[in-house]
Parts: sequence; C-alpha cells; structure tokens
Amino acid sequence: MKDLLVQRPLSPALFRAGSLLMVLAALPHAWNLDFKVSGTFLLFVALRFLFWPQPEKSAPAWLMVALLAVSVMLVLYQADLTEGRQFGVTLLVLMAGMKLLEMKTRRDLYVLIFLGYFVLVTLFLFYQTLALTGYVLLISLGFTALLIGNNLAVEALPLKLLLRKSLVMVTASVPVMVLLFILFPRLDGPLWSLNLGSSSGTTGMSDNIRLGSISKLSQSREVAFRVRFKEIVPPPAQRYWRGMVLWHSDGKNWTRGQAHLPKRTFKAVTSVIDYEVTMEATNQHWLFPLDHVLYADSGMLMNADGEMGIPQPIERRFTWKGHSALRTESEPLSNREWQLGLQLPDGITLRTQQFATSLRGGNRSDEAVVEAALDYFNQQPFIYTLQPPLLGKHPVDQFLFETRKGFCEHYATSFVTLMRLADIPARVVVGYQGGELNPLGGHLVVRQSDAHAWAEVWLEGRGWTRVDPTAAVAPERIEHSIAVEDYADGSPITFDLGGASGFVAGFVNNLRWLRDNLQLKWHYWIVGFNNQRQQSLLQKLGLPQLDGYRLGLAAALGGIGLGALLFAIGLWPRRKEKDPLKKSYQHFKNKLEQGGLKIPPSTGPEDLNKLAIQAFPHKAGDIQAIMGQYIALRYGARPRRDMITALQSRVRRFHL
Amino acid sequence: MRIRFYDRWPCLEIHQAVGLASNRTLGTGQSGCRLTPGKGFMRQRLIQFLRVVRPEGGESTIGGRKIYILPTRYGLVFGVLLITLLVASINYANNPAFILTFLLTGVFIQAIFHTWRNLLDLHLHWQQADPVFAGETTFFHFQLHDPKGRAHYTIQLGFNEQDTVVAPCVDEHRKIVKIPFLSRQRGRLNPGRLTLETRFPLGLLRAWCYLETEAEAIIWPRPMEGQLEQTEPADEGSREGDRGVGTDDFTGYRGYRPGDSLAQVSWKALAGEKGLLVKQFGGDRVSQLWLDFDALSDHGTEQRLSILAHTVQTLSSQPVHYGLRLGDLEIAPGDGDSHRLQCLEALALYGESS
Repeated sequence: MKDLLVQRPLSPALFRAGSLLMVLAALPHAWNLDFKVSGTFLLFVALRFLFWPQPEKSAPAWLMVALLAVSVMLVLYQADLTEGRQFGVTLLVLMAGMKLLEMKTRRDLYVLIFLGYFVLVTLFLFYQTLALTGYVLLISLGFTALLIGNNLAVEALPLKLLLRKSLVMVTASVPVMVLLFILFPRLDGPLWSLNLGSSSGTTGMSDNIRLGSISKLSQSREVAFRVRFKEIVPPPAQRYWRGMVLWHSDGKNWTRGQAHLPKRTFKAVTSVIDYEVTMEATNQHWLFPLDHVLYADSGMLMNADGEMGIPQPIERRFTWKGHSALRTESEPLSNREWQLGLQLPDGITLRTQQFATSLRGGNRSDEAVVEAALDYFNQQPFIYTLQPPLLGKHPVDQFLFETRKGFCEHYATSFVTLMRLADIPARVVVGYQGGELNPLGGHLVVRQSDAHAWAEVWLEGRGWTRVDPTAAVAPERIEHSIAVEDYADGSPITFDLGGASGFVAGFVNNLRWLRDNLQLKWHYWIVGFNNQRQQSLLQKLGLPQLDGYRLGLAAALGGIGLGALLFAIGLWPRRKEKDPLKKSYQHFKNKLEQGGLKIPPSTGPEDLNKLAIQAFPHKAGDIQAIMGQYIALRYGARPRRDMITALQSRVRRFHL
Repeated sequence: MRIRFYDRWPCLEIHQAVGLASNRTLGTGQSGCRLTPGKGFMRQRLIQFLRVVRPEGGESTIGGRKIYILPTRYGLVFGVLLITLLVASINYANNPAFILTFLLTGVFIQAIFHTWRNLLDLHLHWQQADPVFAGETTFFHFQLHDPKGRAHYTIQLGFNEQDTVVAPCVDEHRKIVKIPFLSRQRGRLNPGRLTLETRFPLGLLRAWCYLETEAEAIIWPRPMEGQLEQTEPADEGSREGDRGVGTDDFTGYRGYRPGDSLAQVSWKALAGEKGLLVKQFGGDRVSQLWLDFDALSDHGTEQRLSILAHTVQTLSSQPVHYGLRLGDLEIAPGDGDSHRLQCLEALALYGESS
C-alpha cells in the first residue's frame, strides 16, 4: 500500500515545531563552530521564515543551488580539512539549514528529523558534560514526538498526546540503552586515526617555570584533577602532587634539562596508597602522582626523578591509577645528579654567596643549613603574595634581601639556589599541593589554584628530601587552599580556613560539592567508561567470561529481549475498574435469586422489574424504585456520582 | 427494437444523457479481486500461505499472530543512521554518543511493538456498500472499533490494488470507515482481501494484515444511451382517478406514517400544532410504461441491461410510472426511489443465481 501521508504537505504546526527543534539542536554548536557558519545557518532559517513562512511554498530550486554553492565554498574556505570533526559538523549544520529552507512535505520532515538526531550526536564531539547530555536527551525526546506527529493524519498537533507517547517510548528505551551501554564491546583505540585539533585555552602546568608563571596559574579556579583514594587518604599537609623536576636554571627560568633515566620502581617505606586520578585535558604528557610515586602502570612512563607521564598528550578527560607512599627508601646520589644538583645559575651576587656561606656557618651539617635557611624565611618579614613586585637582573638576590614578597616559586627557586651555593644538591619540583575533599563524593578536588612549587634537597642517609620553604612563610598554604577571590593587588594572601559560615553560604557550598560530585561520577562512570572498566564491572556482576563477540551478541540479544519484556509489561491487562452500576445491579439480582426468583439469562432490566414485582408483590415499591433508578442511570446521559451512591445504599438496604 | 410505452400522451422521447456521478476513466478488466492468470499462479499459491483474519459472526478481530511487520524506507534509513552513529561513537570512544545511539536503538525496538499494537485488537464489522453503476467507485462501509477502548491512530485501509483511506479509531465509539472500490462490472461485487496497515507511531515500520470480509456490493449495469421506440399505447391505463398515490395533484391530508418522505410533511400544519400531517397527491394521470428486456432483441445481453439501466435512471426523474420485465421477473409499474433501486438491482443481478 502506498503511504498516503508522506506526500501530504506539512501542517503549519509540524513545520514550525520542526524548525524550532532543529534550531535548538544546532544551538550549542554556536560555541563550537566559526561564527560565519552559525551565521549562515541562522540566515537560512531567517530566509525561510521571512519569505516562505508557509510550509506549502519553499525556496525555489535556483536559490537552493546558489546556496549550496555558497555553503560548499564556506565549508572549504573555513574548515580545516585536516580536522575531520570541524569539517563534518560544519557540513552537517549547513545541510540542516538548507533542508529547513526547502522543507515542504512530510517526507522532508523525516529527513530533517534524521539530520537533527545526527546534529545532536555531533554535539558530543565537543563537550561531554552531564548538562549537555541532558539537553540532548530533551531535544531528542522532542524529535521523537515530532516523528509521531508526522504520522498523525490530523492537521493540528495534539501536543500532550505526542509528548506522552514519545515519553513512554523513550523511557521504555532506557533499560535497553543501559544494557547496551554496559555490554557493548569497547575498543581500546579508534577505528581510524583522529585529528581532534588542539583545544585552545586549557590551563595547566607547563614543564618550565619562570617567576610568575605559577602565581598566574593559581588565579584559576578550574579543576585540574580529581582523586579518589582506595583506602588511606593522606592528611592535607602531605598532599603533594608531584609534577616536573626542574634542575636547570639560567637565573630566571627553570627547566627540566635533558636526558632522564627511566626507572622501574621506588621502594616504599610507609604504607602504599592506591588512588585513581581523573584529569582534565591539558594537552600535555604529564601526570601528577601523589608524592612519592612507587611505580607506573602499563601505558604510563616514569623516570628516576619520579616524574610520570603518558606517551600521548592528554586531550580529553583521562583517568589513571596511581600507587604512592609518603616516604620511599633513600637511594644513592648518582654522579649525574650530583653534577646537575649543584649547577649554579648566572647572576649570583656576592651578597647571596656570602649569605649562603653564613648559613653553612662553622661546618654545620646539611640538615642544619636547611633549618637555618628556613628560619631565615620564617623570621625575616617575607610576605606570601600572588602579585609580587617585578624582579630585575638578579632575581634571587633582589627577592632575598629587598622585595621579600613572593609566591611559592620565588621561595622554592631562591631556596634551591641557596642550597646549591651551600654545596647541598637541590632541585625544584613543580606540581600541585593540597586539594579539597568533596564531602559528598569522598574524593579530592585539586584545582589549578593549588599549583605549587617546592624544593628537594639531597641529604646523606635520607636521600632526596622534600623541603617546602613556602611552609616556613605561610604554613596555612599547606593546610588550606588559597581563597583566590579575596586577594587584592599585592596584598598578602588570605586562606580559606573553612570556618563556619552562614546557613545560606553552607547551602551554596553543599550545592557546589553536589555538582562537583555529580561531575566526577559522570566522568568516571559514563565519559570514562572504557574496556578496562567494562571488564571490571562485568566481573562484579558475575559475567567475567564475556568478551569480544560474545559481549556483542549478549548486547544485541539482551537489548531486543529487554525491549520485548518491557513492552509485554505494558501490555499486561490492567484490572479494570469495575462499573459500580453493574456491580449494584448484580448485587440486586443476587438478592432476588436468593429470595427464590429464577432469572433467565436473557432478562433485561424492564423484564426483570415485572418478573420481580410478580414474584414479590409485597416489595413492589422497593423493586420499582431500584429498577427505575437503575434504568435511569444506566441509559441516561452521564450518571451522577451521588445518585449511584444512593442506588448502592438502596440495594444494600433491600431485603426480601 | 421494440419498447412498449403505455402512455396517455402520444410520445415521450428519451435522449438526454444521464449524468453520471463519476468521471473516472472506465477500465475494461475483470473485477479487481480476481487475479489475472499471467502473474497470478505463484501469487495465488503464496496467498494461500498468508495469515488472513477471517470474520466470526460478522466481525473480524485482528489477533497478534495475523500481523506482519517490516521496516519502511524510512526505517531502513534510520537503521543506516544508527549504524553511522555507532561507528562514530566507537571511533571517537565517545560514551555520551553511545548513550544517544543506544537510546535511539531502544526507540526503534519500541517502535516495532507500538506499530504492531496499533493494529492489534481492532474489530472490523462490515455494514453495507453503496450500490453504484459499473465504472463508478463504490464505498464499502466498515465499522471500526476496539472494545477495550484503546486508541488506534492512522490506520490505512484498502482493497487489493484499490485506493486507500486513512482513519483513526480513537475511542470506543464505533467509527464508520468508507473504503473505496472502483467497480468494473455489473453484478455482485466481492471486493476480495482487505488490507489494514499502519506506520504509526514513528513511520519507521509498517505493520499490516489481511482480512477476508463478507462484504459485497451490488453494481448496476453501466448506463448506456439507447433508442427507445414508442409502440403501442397502454392497455392498462389508470383507472383509479385522483385517489391513491402520485405526485401530481394535491388531494388532501393524512396522518404521518413512518417512512413517509419528509418533503411531503406539511410543516405548516405542524407549526399550527395540528400534528404531523402528510400532504397527499393524486398521481394516476401520469404516463405508465413498461421496460421490456425482450423487446431489445437486436442487442447483446449486457447492452440491453445497460440501456435499460439508463432508461430507469432517466425515467426516475420524470413524472412517469414504469415497470420492468426481465425474463421471468416482472416489477410492476411504480415510481420513487425504492422502486428505482429495485429495478436497478434486478438489472444488476440478471442472470446470477439468487
């Protein structure tokens, strides 16, 4: 049979609803695409509604050809052909706009809806947040309702019916979706190589520091990574997240230097801490394990300095497992380390040199020298600030003796310089320090504002030892996060001491934690769901033998079976609310039969009336009243509730 | 050719064409339900294996096992869309994209059941068919309802290779659906297999089922203009004068009886609260004539029937009483719509048993 509906012109309601949903579906792409592309799409929509606002008339063919040419040119000119994602999405959005322009029949609406679903999926190529997913599901609910509307023969859109039907169908699809999501086999790598381009503007630690780079980073409240500890959660003062180790300095900049030896393991002295880190995209290779790392899982790299990384830059949220201990066994200092650890930058002033010599004093031990230096920072009027004054040619000298205002990197670098002058091998370590515990999720949130730099010195018998000169100046920094919002130009930094705040503030704070928790859960269970996590989940579910094609088969069969089951549940005959009139009538009949009246099955109410009056003439009045009422209610229009109740009570009172 | 006119007036010539209700091009083939022998054999064998809903007690109920379902063109396109989305999700290892893909997969699975259910439990009851002239479209009236009161939307009904209609069945009220059939031949028309199909809700799948019905329609002979010669005057004139029934002269009032034409009700009398009265007309002074099948001896049977049908149709709009002689059958002269229908039906069924 030919489909009678497809050829029909669209009703205005369908046309408008389709256009609106398409615009809504493409809306978030405004942030992803060049404004020229978004503008062209909007221009198409505007053209349609300005010149052809009715569904029966659409843009003429010559215009479509011209616009197609314009679109292709725009795509070729604007899109970076090497980046498949941008190119494809640009093309798709422009096609959707053109379809909107020429939409006329119900057949066109099918095409538009399919394009709409496609546009919705491409949104996830750019962002994968919980909010966006919710938005996408909402719009696809709308598209499904539109599809249903497209199959109704009526002109008007019964919105309630459509939304209800679509909600029923989509909701019933959720279990199938969950099942397929869990069971569908995940590949470790992509099918073909991807070029996602570099997302610009990601903040994160870089592998060299200039004075000022960390303080700049510290002004960002963005999340750097989240950590979930297996058992032991280290105390705040021990939460050092080790990034890069900087050996080399030209006086102003500190860099890693070259040739790093790979290393397998460090030996733990204290108990092993296992944890899982979910990192935000950084476009760099570095990972930030808890200090000090013990070994790297497969796929990750570690070197003798205790730096960790992965071969590819981190372009999207990435989760990895870490294994650390607060203290590791000391190891002998290699010649190379000895050399690098005593390298002196240029521009050391005599004053600094003399000060370093004075620290050493009369042959004091290395530990005592370190103590003395820390005491100096602690006792002299040093100020911890995010906006230190600019330093000139001899930054260490100027900082130590003149400005005395600085951020962690100032303290760390000058401390390391002092140690090297005093013949103690020392190096700068950058990374993060601290992290807030999310009370709801139980995980730690480390932000860019927790970026930190500290020093390590090599001490006989203890090996490389962490020394944090910042702690000597501002011990609160180590225990608490910086309240970045509060700092003013050059003023000393205040700390978020977590004191009791008002009820509203507490509530807002809780909401903040809730959101953070949701985000982490979302990224852990949904966005980061991969082959390994799938296997471990199946293990927990007791289905460890599923893999590869068996998994796929289970997914397919399970999906269809579950769909059928849900539908069958929906089909299950619901117990119908019994008709109260019918029940009353039956009740009455039962009473008559108990009284000895034989009622042939074909007796109607009128006949029953006569029959009963004949049989029980002494009750004629009651029978007449009941039957009269019943007939009036049964065959009258819209029986009133109270009258039905009256009949019921009359039947109840009736006795023979 | 000989047609006997019994007439008081000397001549009545009928030569204006009778306007037919339909302007369809008239086919020449067999009735639509029968299969042409060329492509027919295999199909006929196949159709024997089809599951067909058969009526029970005049009512056909569509059971779940009688329903066929297959994806439509859009369903196939949707499948391609799903595969594309899946490949993209795998390639970009994009889990939210997986979610949407799998959700849409679930929606497709749901659509299978919902489309199937949109036909399930429908009850179809044949009522009547409009009699028409051969070559016109007759409409078979079917009653569509679901005793459980579940709503069914966008159901397309049609006979084999005929035009279709779309109807919803949204509440427990019995809905009358008129299904067209282009008639080709006079006689009893058995429309054959009825197909019910639906693509609701998503249009991605098409569910359909075949129904056997007890429906039949009377198809009158295709009217054909023919020359009718007046021969002898009537040997049975009107003798009853001004009494009785006719259409000519007003003779008086009588009480309303069910079945009287509303055109003859005296509304003025009703307004004057005199009760429901019917105006009576004396009509016996009209011409009275016989249409005789045997008189048209130099035509073929079908042609004769066609000419007679045409004549009946023409005479029915004129102040004439006409009778029909059709072999053994004789219909006494009369007029009015039921008389016309009786004559036309007799012409339609000429030569058929029963």
